[in-house]
Amino acid sequence: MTVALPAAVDYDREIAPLLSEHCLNCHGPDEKQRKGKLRLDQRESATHAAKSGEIAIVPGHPEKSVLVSRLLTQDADEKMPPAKEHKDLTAAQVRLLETWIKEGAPYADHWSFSKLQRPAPPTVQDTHWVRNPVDLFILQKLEQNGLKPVPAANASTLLRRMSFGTTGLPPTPEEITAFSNPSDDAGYRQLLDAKLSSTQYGEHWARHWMDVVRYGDSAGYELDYLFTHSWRYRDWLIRSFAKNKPMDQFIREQVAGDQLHPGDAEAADAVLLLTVGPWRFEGGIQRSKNRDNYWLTDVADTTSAAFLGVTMACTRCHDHKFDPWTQADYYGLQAIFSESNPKEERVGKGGGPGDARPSFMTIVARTGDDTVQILRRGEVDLPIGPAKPSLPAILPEGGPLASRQARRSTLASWLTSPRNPLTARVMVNRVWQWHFGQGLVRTANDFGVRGDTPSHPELLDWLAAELVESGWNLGHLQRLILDSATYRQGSAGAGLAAERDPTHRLLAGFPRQRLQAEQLRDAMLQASGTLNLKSFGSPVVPPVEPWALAALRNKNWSPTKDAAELNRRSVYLVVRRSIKLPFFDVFNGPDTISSCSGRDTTVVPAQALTMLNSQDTLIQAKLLASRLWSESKGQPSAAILKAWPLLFARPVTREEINEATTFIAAREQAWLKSAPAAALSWSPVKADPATHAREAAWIEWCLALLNTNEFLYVD
Amino acid sequence: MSTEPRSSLLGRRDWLRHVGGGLGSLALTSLLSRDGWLHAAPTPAAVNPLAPRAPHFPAKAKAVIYLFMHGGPSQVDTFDPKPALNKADGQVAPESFHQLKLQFTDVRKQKLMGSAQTFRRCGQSGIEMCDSLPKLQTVADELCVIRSMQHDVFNHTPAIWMANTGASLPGRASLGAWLTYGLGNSVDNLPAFVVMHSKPLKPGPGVWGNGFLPAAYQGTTISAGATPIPYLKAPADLKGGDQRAVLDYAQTMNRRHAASRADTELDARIASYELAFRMQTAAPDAVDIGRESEATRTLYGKGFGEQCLVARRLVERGVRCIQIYHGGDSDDWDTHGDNHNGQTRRMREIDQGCTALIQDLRQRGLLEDTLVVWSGEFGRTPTTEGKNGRDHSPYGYSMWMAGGGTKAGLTYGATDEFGFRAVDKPVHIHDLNATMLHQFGLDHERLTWRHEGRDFRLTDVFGKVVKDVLA
Repeated sequence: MTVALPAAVDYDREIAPLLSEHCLNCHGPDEKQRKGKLRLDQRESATHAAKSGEIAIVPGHPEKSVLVSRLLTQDADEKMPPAKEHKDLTAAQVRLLETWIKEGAPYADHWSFSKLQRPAPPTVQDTHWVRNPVDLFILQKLEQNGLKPVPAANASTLLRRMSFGTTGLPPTPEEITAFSNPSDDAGYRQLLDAKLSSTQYGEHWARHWMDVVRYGDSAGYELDYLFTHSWRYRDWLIRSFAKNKPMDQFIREQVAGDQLHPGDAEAADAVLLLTVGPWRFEGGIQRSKNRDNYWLTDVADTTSAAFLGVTMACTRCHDHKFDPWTQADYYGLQAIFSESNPKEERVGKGGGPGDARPSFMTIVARTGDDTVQILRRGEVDLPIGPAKPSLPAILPEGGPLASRQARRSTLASWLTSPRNPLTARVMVNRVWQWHFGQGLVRTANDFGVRGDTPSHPELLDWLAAELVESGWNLGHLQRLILDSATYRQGSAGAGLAAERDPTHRLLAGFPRQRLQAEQLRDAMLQASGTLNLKSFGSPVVPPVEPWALAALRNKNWSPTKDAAELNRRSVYLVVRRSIKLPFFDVFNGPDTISSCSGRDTTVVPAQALTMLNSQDTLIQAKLLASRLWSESKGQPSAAILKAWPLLFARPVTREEINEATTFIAAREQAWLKSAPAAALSWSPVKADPATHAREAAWIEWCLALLNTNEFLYVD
Repeated sequence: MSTEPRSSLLGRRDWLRHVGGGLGSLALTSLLSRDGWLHAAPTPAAVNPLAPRAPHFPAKAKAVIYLFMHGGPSQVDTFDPKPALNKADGQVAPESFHQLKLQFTDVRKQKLMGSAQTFRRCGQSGIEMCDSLPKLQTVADELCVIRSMQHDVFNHTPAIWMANTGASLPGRASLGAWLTYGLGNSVDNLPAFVVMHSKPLKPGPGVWGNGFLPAAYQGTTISAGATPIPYLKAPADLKGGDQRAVLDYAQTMNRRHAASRADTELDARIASYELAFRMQTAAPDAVDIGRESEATRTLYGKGFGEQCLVARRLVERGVRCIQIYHGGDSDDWDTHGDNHNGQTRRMREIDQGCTALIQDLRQRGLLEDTLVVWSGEFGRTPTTEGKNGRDHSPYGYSMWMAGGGTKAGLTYGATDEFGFRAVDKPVHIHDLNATMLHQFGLDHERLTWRHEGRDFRLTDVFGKVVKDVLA
């Protein structure tokens, strides 16, 4: 007789998160918070007898383990976790712990800190569906869950998705005509190649990366003066993506370009990463003391989040409560950056308190003492002792640096070393997230114990290994993902998959996404035919409504005069830290204060009001109507045929033709009875009443089209 | 993991990002059902982040009107008279105060400066108040004055962040955002969290922002006039247009698009357009004080008083959090020079509005469950700056509350003999925030949001409810 043994409890996936959530606040890595000298995140401590003789975990014996009895007791004084923590475990969770202890209480390294090894792709049943190894991993999980992939997307859906995903722009009508058969692999790959080698791809992916590195064109805080150097870094990003710079080089140059390539202007732009964060400048006698600390904090937090995907910011004030980082690790990282400092030159005449002149920053070698103090509670006035420049001790090749010279270069090579378990995993996860809307790990900036568990750990590792072995070739990774059957599915919808996997983690279908703010604005401009594809250069300052500027203290807001400049892609619009452009604000732009791991997608009435009532949307509606008018010689039937590909990348249906025709005709009749405002027209000269009524009706029609979900969402 | 109640608050993707573990069964929003957009069985992906939500325990307050005094009112010139300070006027402060960190001055080099205000005990309660607040003196018995507020952030920008978001650095969520996250929006035609200010704030608009919370929870600024909320009215060029027809046409397409996709986010977006449409009529009415009687408008007065009157109208309509910022930029309570006249001027600007608000709320039976809060980001030094100014001091300052279940007629806590530091029953901003959340039925330790691996709270890891100030 065979007895089916239950699968062994997985420490990393099942036990560690539970301990982290319920126990580690008082029994974790943070020495100062630790109660009863008990540490549950390390086996040695947890299985060691306390002074009292009690043992928290007796491997193999839940009934002897004090951990279990303290969880189960009814005695309020003994009960764990204490009632005031509101962290009670469910009966099922206690049973899980018991099972794990019974199985010997095996501990394991946290998955993301363990060595990166390429797993063998799994075998699957439906091999016909598979286009490349990515699909094997996805299909295996689907099959295990009794689910099937969604049939492949049709040509227009796939093209629109891929176009927005690569360049952030909708496909052109020409592309739509050229790619009409979704199984035309050669045609698809050709389009893909064209997109991935375009500057527009560089622009869209630079914008993704700008979120991660808290990009801004101004200092923020009280004075919020402009930075005149940030855009050089932004342009470096665009060029790097557009020419498919290897990702290891991409990372190294941002951390230490100036040291690795002395005298190289391009590399000097890359390292401006360290200068595009918030810059705290305030009046008063305490200011100089703190500013350097703010900068070191900003660069340590940003680089650890961006490249390592870890939340080391917590260790600024205390040893991490859940992850194995210590204050020595955190200030060790600051001490790496302290060999340099930003040199700020203010541009133009002026000075004194409240100086709002723009500044230009570069990274220079620090002269004088570069010691960084470990600070109690992160406070400058509470130094504990000097920090040694060092890399996180628990990671391979971590610990104090051998040399105090060129410390950032050492950090850069360590980050991109094949032995670093985090960097490649974090990078491929971001790429995955930027295509599918959520990462394989949904907490892109937290690969720690409290972060998300990967939905497909083997796929994540396989992709990371593939990235490294391909010479950190992002283009190769993009093609793998974008040409996979997984990506080329139809969009996720109803049915069994919606029931079993409502959050689309298993990827039975492509998860629908709302355009992000920049894509939405750019798509409106492209549809109306006014998008200016000029690339690079200093930021464009759009005019902003007075109410939006009302709360801004430093009102040095001088809109760009050249009208054509105002129609450039959103990535070129100025990013002022103390005020978000209203359109980007309402559509969930990043906060620019710290690394943004992913955009929110809220649904609020303010978005509807913006799209329905703002002058900017009305102008786009007017321009779109005018474009359709001239391309259809004023014939609604012809205009309707043209509108659908422009806005939705697909042909219009019969039903939609009827609705649009009826709507336009009804509105035209209404406008004939009550004449529209003179401005509700695109004619340079005053149109006759009949034409004016038609124009007004077409503008309302285009406004409605821009307000449809189909325009805002990508299937 | 079983049911995760807070998931009903979040957009699908926010929820994914912030909550690990399994899915619970969730109700779809009342808004969706109300508008009849529900065409499929509810799925576990919650979509309306503003759906009303029950508090942790029964609430005492339904709304808060937070009157924020930008720049820092001087405690020793308003609610915390110090005879000893007046006596020691012109002397150097005792050595025990020499280590205080201040922004612009060094205590050792300054002189103690008595207050030029006169004070009296008011009402039955005998609450002490200066004579530059003559109207407020008449409602003293409604007030709960705390004289022992304290924190340690002595610059405006970080201190305003501190007062509004519980942290001195940018990036955290404001009180109003936390309340909206915790309780949702109980009305369907106005925002839950409204902000009024007449001047720019030193830290900028982020202080009423959502920080790491979803953007749906941020404050909505309203101003007097025709456009109280951005884009609330169709642009003038569309005059005579038929917005309902435009919307009906777009919604027909939206419903057909949604029908084949079974995605509740699409349904939520359809519903949000209907809410937006309703707001266009509800919001202008809510802020139109022209609809008030002459007597009421006279009671409140102009300027700040008008903002207080709008706040009362919003409370009547179910808005939960109203934040009014008095002063801003460098036109505020920040009296580094000529402290006496500067503080007196500000008191005159707010005296009538504050008093009218309390009287009017009381008379309409609204004060019981409306919490009125008056505070700056910190107080001022008992010592001089320059000849006759006062520097910032966060170490011991005064504020007051009224209504919303607070103890009326109470003076709580005390500073030392000169008014430098809170010495008796100190109340930190975290304690105040914990107390305010408590009045809304929210446990500040349980109202959390996971962000970058940590469960954040309005009160960070601090804060205790100040039970003594509650009725």
